[in-house]
Amino acid sequence: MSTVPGYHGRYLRVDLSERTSREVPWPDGVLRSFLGGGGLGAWVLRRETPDGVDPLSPESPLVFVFSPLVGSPLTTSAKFAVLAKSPLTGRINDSLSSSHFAISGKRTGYDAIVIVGAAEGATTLVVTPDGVRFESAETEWGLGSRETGQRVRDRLGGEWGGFRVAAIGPAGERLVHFATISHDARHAGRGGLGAVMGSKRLKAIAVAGDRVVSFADPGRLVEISRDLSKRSLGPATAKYRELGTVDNLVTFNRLGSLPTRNFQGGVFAEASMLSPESLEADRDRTRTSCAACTIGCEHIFPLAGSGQEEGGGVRMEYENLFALGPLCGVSDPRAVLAASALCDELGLDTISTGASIAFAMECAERGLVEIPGLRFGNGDAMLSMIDDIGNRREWGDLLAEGTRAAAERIGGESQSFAPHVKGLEIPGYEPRALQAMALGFAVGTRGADHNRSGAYEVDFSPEVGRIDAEPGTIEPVVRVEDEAVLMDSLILCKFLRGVFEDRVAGMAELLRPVTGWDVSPEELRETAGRIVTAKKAYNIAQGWTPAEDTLPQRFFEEPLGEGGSQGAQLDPDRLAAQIRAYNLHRGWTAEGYVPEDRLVALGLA
Amino acid sequence: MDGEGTSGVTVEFFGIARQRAGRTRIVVCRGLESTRLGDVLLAAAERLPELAGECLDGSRPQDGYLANINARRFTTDPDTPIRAGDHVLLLAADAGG
Repeated sequence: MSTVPGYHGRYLRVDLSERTSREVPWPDGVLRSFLGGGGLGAWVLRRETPDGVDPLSPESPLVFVFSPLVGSPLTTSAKFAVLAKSPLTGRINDSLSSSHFAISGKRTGYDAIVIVGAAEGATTLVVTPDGVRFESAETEWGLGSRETGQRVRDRLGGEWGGFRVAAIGPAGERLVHFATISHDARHAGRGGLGAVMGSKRLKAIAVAGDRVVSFADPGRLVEISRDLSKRSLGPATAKYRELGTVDNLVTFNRLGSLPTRNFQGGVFAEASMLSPESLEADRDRTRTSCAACTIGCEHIFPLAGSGQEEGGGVRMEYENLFALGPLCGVSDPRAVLAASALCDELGLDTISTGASIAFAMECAERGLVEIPGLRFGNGDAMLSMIDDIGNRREWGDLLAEGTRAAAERIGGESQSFAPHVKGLEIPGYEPRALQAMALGFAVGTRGADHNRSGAYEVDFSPEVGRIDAEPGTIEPVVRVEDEAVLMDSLILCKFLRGVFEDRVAGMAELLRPVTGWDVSPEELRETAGRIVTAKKAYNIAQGWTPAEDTLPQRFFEEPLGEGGSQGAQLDPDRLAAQIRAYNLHRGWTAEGYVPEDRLVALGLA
Repeated sequence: MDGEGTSGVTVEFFGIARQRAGRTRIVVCRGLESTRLGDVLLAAAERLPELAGECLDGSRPQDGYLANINARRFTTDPDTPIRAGDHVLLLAADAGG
């Protein structure tokens, strides 16, 4: 079979109900039109998902997608995407992650693995170039993802040079709507894809193989890979390398943009207790990297007895630090580290977990619910509730559905401060203080999300005022979203952003020697627009309405009270006008629907 | 507080700038009622040569760095007016988390 360099030219479709699999070739033009990762996954998901499907039903597909750069010497390219209809949002969800799972997965000989159906009992899916096997996972059911991965690897042994495993923890088994899929102690974290896996009684996926793809111009690829690695060690990534993303906390606090106590404020008075220096008070942190990465942004902080790393330690990033710290009003570093370790063990998205608990804390303080001890600042109560969510006990059973569903049940004014967009909990960027990001949250196809939009970049620039986002916000918001969608489709780590003088041109330069396509920056920009529109069309088919593109009422009614963003709040009319302008800029109707001629023009009809 | 009123402009450091500066803040341009951002940054670099090159490029923030005036608006323009008592924050432009 002749195929494009960088690809195998086919995906594997596995039916767990029937215990069968078959190879599916990519139709002509699909690879160049959607690239890989989140882009190619959106194409597959549109093809495979019945309209209105229950995300946790057997008919709902779960898709693992690799990309053309996986297996190349390009730094940060060992990444993959997992996609499904999110049980948390009912909309498209793509979670990206990095590890050797990406490299081993592509070595099976497939560009993607699509899983439909549901197994009768707990199952491990084993994929190699020889085909698929369905093995019992009854002895792993109930275990954490790390122990599961190790057991599966030990049992499968050194066949094909050893297996890499993605697995769910107890939260995925219990269908917690923000359960993760974990691998090599990393996670495809957002949107509850671990629950989709759990609904299929699929405990783990093990991949191995020896199928490597060719590259169009190997000499040039090695040359640009060396150059990219060199640039990745320069000043543009020094922050990530030397400090890690946890350093954002102090900066955001000074700007009044650090979400605190369920988004009641933008300043956390005890932020210094969660500074990197405070987190490593007892013992120095260590640093590590994803597979095939030269940046090394992972900072592992000491936590005795965590067992997560040899010697005990917890990977901390800004998002788990903010969500389990200031958002819950918790300033005890040990509680925050322990909470993050517990989320990892159970397989819980730390952002949604922290936001759900912070929401419950505010409900309790307002007297809307009675949950003994659950108050802002109580680290022990937070830890206990994390365990209850992961195991769906008592109030944890309700919070396991996410803040949107919990607010619908609790009622009262709680829906006005449930911190989500489209059901996805808001990450650590205060929307009133970062109003380009607020627009990005509102229009995001995945919901409130800083990885698919990245509009905080516009706020952190002289281009527009972050608190009074003027006209002129739309073009840069679209630009950074397009750049993000391309990075998520190639796939490259976004922490490389700063090394490119022109990001899109830089990505085109990387893609050419891999695929042989004479791809221009203009073509890639059109590709980005196509992928964003494909995701939008997916959501429309699944029931999206324009009313979803907004933020919780709190952000329109409660100005920030102190600090660098004092007085900031969202103007509903201005945000609505920005959303209309964004939609029109995308070639959609002002309301956000995709006209048929736009679908045709982009090859999406 | 040191740096308020006519006693100068406070430059606050965050992230790598704080690492290189080895401190959280300094006060420069004492005695001036008003000045420009470029002069503030030049004065900071004179006091803390470790900032030059990586974080500062003469009178401007280096590529990938930003100045922020009083925790509100970001700028890289060296002609931005600065008054005594202002706080200039120096930080990385990349806020990815």
